[in-house]
Amino acid sequence: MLIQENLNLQQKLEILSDAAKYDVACTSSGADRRGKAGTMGSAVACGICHSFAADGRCISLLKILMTNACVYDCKYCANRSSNDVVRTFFTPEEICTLTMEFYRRNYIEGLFLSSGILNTPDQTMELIYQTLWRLREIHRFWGYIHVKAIPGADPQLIQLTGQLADRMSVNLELPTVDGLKTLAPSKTRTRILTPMRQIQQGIRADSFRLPQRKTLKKDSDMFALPRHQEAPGQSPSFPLSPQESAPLKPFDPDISLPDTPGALKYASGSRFVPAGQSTQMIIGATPETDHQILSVTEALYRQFDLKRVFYSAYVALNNDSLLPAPGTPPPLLREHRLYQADWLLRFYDFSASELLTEDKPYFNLSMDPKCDWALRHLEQFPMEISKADYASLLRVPGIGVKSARRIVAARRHHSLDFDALKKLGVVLKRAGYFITCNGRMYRAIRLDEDYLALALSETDKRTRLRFEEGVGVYRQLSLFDDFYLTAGPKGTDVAKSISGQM
Amino acid sequence: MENQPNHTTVFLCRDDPDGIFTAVYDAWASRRGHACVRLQLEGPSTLELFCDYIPVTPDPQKADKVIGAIRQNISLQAWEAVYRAALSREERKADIIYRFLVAGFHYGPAVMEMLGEPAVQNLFALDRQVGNEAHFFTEFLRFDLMEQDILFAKMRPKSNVLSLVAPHFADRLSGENFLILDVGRSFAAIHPAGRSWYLLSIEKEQAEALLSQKPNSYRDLWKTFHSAIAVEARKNPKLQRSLMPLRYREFVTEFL
Repeated sequence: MLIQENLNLQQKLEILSDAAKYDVACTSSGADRRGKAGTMGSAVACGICHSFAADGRCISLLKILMTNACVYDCKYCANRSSNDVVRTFFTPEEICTLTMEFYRRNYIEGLFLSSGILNTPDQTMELIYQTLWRLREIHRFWGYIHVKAIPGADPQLIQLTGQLADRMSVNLELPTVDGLKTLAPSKTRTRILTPMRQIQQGIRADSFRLPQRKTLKKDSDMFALPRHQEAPGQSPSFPLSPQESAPLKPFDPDISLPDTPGALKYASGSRFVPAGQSTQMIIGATPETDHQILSVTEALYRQFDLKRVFYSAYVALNNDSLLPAPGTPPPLLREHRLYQADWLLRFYDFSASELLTEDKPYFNLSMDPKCDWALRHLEQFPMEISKADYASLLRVPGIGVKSARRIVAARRHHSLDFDALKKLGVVLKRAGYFITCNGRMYRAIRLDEDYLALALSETDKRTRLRFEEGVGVYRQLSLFDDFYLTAGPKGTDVAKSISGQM
Repeated sequence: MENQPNHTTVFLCRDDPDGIFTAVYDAWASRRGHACVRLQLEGPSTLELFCDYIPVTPDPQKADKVIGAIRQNISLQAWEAVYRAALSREERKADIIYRFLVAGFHYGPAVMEMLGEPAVQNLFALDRQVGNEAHFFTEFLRFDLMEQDILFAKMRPKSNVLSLVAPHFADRLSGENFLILDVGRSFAAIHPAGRSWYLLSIEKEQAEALLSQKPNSYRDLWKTFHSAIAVEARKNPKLQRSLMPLRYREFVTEFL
């Protein structure tokens, strides 16, 4: 494989971001730390999207490949070794410079580094590690880093890299072993699951460490009103003269490697992959059913403690008899339903078997999985809002985590009517069919499956149309539609979630 | 005449936290009864019959007393919500805050859970509006690197969110000199490297004269990245527009 050496930074960036674009996760969530003198950056638990690309997907991180050269020939991949594309690579220093310069301009929240396999997994992983090390130690980058663990790489390298990253992920690629065998013969399920297990154990071991003492916020600073200052002289007090401004960004190229792994200077209590682990699989390149996919997802959450499983509707680009023909539109609505169901698994305490079974292996495309479930369990409805417990409220279509919490908090103080429910964020055009408020229904309806199916599918129509027009959904399924309502329990519910976040 | 029922006293306050909280203090201290007072922002508005209009002179000491009382007798969380509401673009915000505080001082911390109360709903609506806009600007603000290593960003928010946005950047870019200019209100948050930030009244022209543009290639690199990262087969400008509304794009590098 010929690697082009004479490209400039702009050309390389174009090639290597284009090659990275099929990776779904662009999340910058899960890590929460304030800035620190002498470093650049901070991380916000809910993550921050900085832009949205022309396809409507969130751009949070500088998502690039270190190199698009790859020894593997996976059939679905744009960078497979048999494709005739220009191959190039970034040096670690180039990646660092791009990250730092983009970050200080508020273009990005951090780096998402992935790579094709350059000669061997070990060599690739080592280059990734070097890059992260430079970024943290030399450039003093304190923002978010998501990095791929390369299956087959030395566990020691993965361990070291994990101490520098916020999130690590290993791509499952395809939902089943068979799919993998047909489309990616050089990869095996075991080889993929090994680093996943290692990262899981690393995170667990890390969580048993003594918690660090939290520093209390100083009241006065936090809550004092920012009042205008008298203008110091005529111009603002900066630009400062060079000698006056403290050299806060020490750049010392001779800085030595840390003595002991894990005792890095950038964070005295360096944690292992604090934002957790994620993975992704391709949907629609192989003939798996939704039921199979969702069961795999559930197993990953339960057995591997994953933070997120991402789904990537397959974009047909390669010509191969085993794949959908090039130009086949990506199955976006199906992908959307999977994300909705994924949400139900993680936050609504549903299990995969409640949503799909072997007899009913596909999602109902005309309504969301929660409505679909409710229709099959009409005996549990209508539910009385003033009495139902939190877990039951979560099962009502149109009531989300946030609105369920608000209901539980608010009804302690006064009784709620439909108007109040609406203000609390309950979507009455769905919930209206399934609840009563002090014994009253929203409108006179029959709890009849056919009637409801028609009504709910009508409500969902706009969503479907969006996909039929070739549309995806991002800032995906936000856990609450307004990210700032300060009622009810805080804490975990700050989790704003986007396909790009969380 | 003074204490006739139905006779409303309107306290006219300046549109900033000090002004609003001073008016809260004065209205409360006037002992005319909550139903007989109203808070209103200064500015051209139709005068009503049977109303007394009292202009309020902002007094930081009175404002601080109100703030202290909110933090102590309601909660810190309530204070944060009220502070954000005070920055809102909403005309009726002063009175909404007053009504919330009447409920708040009556019920104590529990008021934050009384989401069925209109007084509480109204305040939370403002809080949310301001919080969301501030969040959008932490996402979409773009700095340009100027001569002498100064980062310069412009914004045109509807609500006065600069003082919510600046601390975020002061924290993460503590080692940078930066200036964030609210173009519409003509004031800026200024952060000298390694020091704390402050607000300063400054016109756009003034600011631009102070800071001279430096040619830099990162703008182009960013644009390259921004267009390369989109998947052609999923192209969807409508969705992009709903997630990144046009009004936030005025100074956003990749759309210039």
